[in-house]
Amino acid sequence: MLVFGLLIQSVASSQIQSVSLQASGLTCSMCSRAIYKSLKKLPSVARVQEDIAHSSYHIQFKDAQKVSLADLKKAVLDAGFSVAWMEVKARFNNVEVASDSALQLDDFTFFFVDIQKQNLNGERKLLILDKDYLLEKDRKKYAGTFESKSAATGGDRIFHVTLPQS
Amino acid sequence: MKKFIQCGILWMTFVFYINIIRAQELFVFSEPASNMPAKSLGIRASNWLMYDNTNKTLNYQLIPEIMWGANKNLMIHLDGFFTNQGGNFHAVGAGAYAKYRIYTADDVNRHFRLAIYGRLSLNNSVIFQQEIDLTRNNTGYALGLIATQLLHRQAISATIGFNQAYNNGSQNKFPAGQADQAMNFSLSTGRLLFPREYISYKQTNFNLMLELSGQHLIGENAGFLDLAPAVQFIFNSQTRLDIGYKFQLYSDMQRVAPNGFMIRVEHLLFNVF
Repeated sequence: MLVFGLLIQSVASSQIQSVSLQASGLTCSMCSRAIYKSLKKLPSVARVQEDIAHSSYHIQFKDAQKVSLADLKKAVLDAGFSVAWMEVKARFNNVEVASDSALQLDDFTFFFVDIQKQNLNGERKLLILDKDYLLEKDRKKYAGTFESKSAATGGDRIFHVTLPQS
Repeated sequence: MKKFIQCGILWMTFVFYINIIRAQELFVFSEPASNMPAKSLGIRASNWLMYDNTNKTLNYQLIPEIMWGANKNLMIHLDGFFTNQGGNFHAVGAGAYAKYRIYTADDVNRHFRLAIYGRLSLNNSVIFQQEIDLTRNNTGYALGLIATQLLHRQAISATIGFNQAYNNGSQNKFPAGQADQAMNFSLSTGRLLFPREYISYKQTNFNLMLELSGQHLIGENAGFLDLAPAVQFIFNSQTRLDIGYKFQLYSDMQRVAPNGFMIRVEHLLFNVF
């Protein structure tokens, strides 16, 4: 734990801007609307923009509220579906990251997986790799790279992330 | 009339296979393995207009239903059974149905799901046919399994269930010597035809369904097979209108009114609890 504590960088200037997710297992607008309603009722959510054709949702938050990624995931599951992927968009100011490095963002700790050492600037997206936040077949690409650290994944505040290709 | 219906069914079958757009699993004559959203409430009224072959009359049956998504895996229905048989419109019974999703494999725009279901029905109407129908004519219980495969372009769902019928109260005994157990099975497929592209929840959906359903009486070598095409409209991604026609393809058992229309209205209330 001490080692992780030393590795964690605190980035005061970066904040989570929004979250995008795609739901899986649905094809009808009634199902899509059920997810939309389920996300919209969360107290921390200010706005949900839906893309029905791609079953994806862009979620913005109220300033004062703490964001809970676990609540977003649960909202999709409660509507009867699964999360295909979830991306957190955050603002960075010249933060150095590398595989296995950890980053404190707002109330979250993100461990980076499978990335080159680099500096993050401006708005960047982080793809969450933890179970139930990404399709199993996509998670398999990262199998072995962070499973051994699963003991470090504590509840809904610590996540493994990578930088999406696009 | 018969020729017209046959032509209509052929046309719909044709449309099913040329208009490959998106799958739809909100079946009219059967339940998919998927559940309604958790913490939501559904209100449904099913109107059956079936032609009575014996009495040459039109039987009207109304089944009001309340559906509750208890959690993401469990949903519960409570329904009432009303009929105009005997000349006056009256209640004949009530039932409860529960469905539990036991397996889920989701992918983008596709899934495979398994669910088990159980039904308990009370009915006090006169038993006048061999067919065991726990939603309209018989007291008893049913237990079964549903498997639904939803691909981008095709939804296929299969159901198999065991039915046990009992006396319809003390007044209307189950006929002695008649099979009181049956296996039910169904095979359903559905497609979304419109809209071609989803932009808004306000777009009206138009779906086509085609379902086969049948029953085999345990202990008697008798059964039936029905075909039921249906059209479905979904308004505002919240209200459903189903219009289906069910007709007998084959039967070697006594059934009073196997052919007719079913018109259903359903409204979903999201996040009620």
